[in-house]
Amino acid sequence: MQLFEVIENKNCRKHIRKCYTLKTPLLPSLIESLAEFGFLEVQNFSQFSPLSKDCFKIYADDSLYINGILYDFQIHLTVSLANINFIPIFESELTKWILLQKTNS
Amino acid sequence: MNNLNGTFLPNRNAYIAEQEPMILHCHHYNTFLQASLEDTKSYLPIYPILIDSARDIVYLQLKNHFIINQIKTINEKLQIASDFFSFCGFGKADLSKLTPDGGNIVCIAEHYSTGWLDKFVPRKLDEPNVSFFASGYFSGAFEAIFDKNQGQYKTTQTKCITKGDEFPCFEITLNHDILNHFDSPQEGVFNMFEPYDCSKDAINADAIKLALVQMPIMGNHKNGLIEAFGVFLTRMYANYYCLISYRTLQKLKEKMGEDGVALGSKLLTEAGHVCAFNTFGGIMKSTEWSGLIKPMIKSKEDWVYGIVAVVNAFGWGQWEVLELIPNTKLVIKITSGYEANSYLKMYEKSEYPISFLATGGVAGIMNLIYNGDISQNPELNETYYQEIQRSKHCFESKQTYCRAKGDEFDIIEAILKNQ
Repeated sequence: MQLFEVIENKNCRKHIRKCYTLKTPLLPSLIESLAEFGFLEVQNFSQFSPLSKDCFKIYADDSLYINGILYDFQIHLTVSLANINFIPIFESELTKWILLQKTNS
Repeated sequence: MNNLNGTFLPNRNAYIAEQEPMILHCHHYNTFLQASLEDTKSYLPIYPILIDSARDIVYLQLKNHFIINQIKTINEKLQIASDFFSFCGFGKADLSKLTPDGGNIVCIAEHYSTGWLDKFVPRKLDEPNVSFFASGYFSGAFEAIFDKNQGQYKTTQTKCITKGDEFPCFEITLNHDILNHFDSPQEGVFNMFEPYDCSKDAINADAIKLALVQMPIMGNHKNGLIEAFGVFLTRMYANYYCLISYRTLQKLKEKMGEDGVALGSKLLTEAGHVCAFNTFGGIMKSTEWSGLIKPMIKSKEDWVYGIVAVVNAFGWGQWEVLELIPNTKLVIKITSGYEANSYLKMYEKSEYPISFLATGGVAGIMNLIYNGDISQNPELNETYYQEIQRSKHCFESKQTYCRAKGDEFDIIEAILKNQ
């Protein structure tokens, strides 16, 4: 069973950029679990306009960057070529969280 | 410590740090503008213009900051100069080991070096090193810190990552040459505008401006660079752009007359167009755009209103859409644009339009939205840029009203090139 779809942006010389599309929306619990990988920054745009949605990013130096929109279905991962070992770790965390959501529902 | 950060003034859309307007611009504009000006090197003294313009501004700003805040210790002054360099996204430089006689600076990172390598090929070994702005920054900072006059320190870049070195390095020495120096135009001749209630518009411009102004856009703790919206951003001195642009234009005019003005205007406007393509394009592709602005968008025209709302948080003055005919025409009115503010203080009046960044930027907005289609998330690269430039739907713009020529405000019109 495929838990998410992945599209890789192959246009970047220095980083690998992947976009993951999930079937479940990105809940705060996912962001909290991914925050262990770096600094978490949330932009509370919804406080300025009821239409706007909050954005998040998690980053560690210039080797790792995870970002997305809360309650959206896509999450983006950017890693430097020196840090590609992080990709399976990220995907494993994502899988674990999705399965937990299924269990809980 | 009395940090130098600055304040956003919403009735001018200006971000002022100790009387110096600071504006957001990315590495595409910074390096492209520098490269365009460097193209004049065979007939103009361009390198002193690039360095001394930074020195003149930084000197006055830091000197004022130290006096107003009664900062007296050298260590604190050095720390403030170093912190502001990083806060603005210029890079990270440890200045703490320097003495009144000068010394050496190793930067962990520096904006123009990283930006140049991202955008262009490495510089040739026989070319000057790339970091003219940083060299001027360090000279001006040292003159303010050690209470000297402008021109009493000279900074030489000794290592350059665009030529294969690991870090950008600089040497500061006491200078015995007599150099020309000028005062920064500081806040210039600015205007204020009356805000209007846009809460009922599809695009809530006030909400966008407020949200963006409060975003923590500052150099990261590790390397002092600002990576945001897919570009390296800086909080650059508005007057740096104005000084290097208008000083070069003056030199071109002295050398070549009206042909020089025409050539300079074309170079500077193209730099603005490149800026719009990469910075505006990067923003419209970003997660922040998707979260903050995209939910408000109901039509393609709203993309124009959305990006104009973003510009109003950049410190560039007040941009307002006067007319938008889809696929055909965009007219933007600018109140208190930073180019006119600075020009009016420096030269009082111009015979020709001088808002080059804005002129290129307005055409860039139309080209991104109606010539290319940014809503389809294209890759913003050189191939796509050339494709847009060659298209029969390419937009070009001209400045029809110019505050520096005596008008009340600036107006820029973008229309189809082949119309």
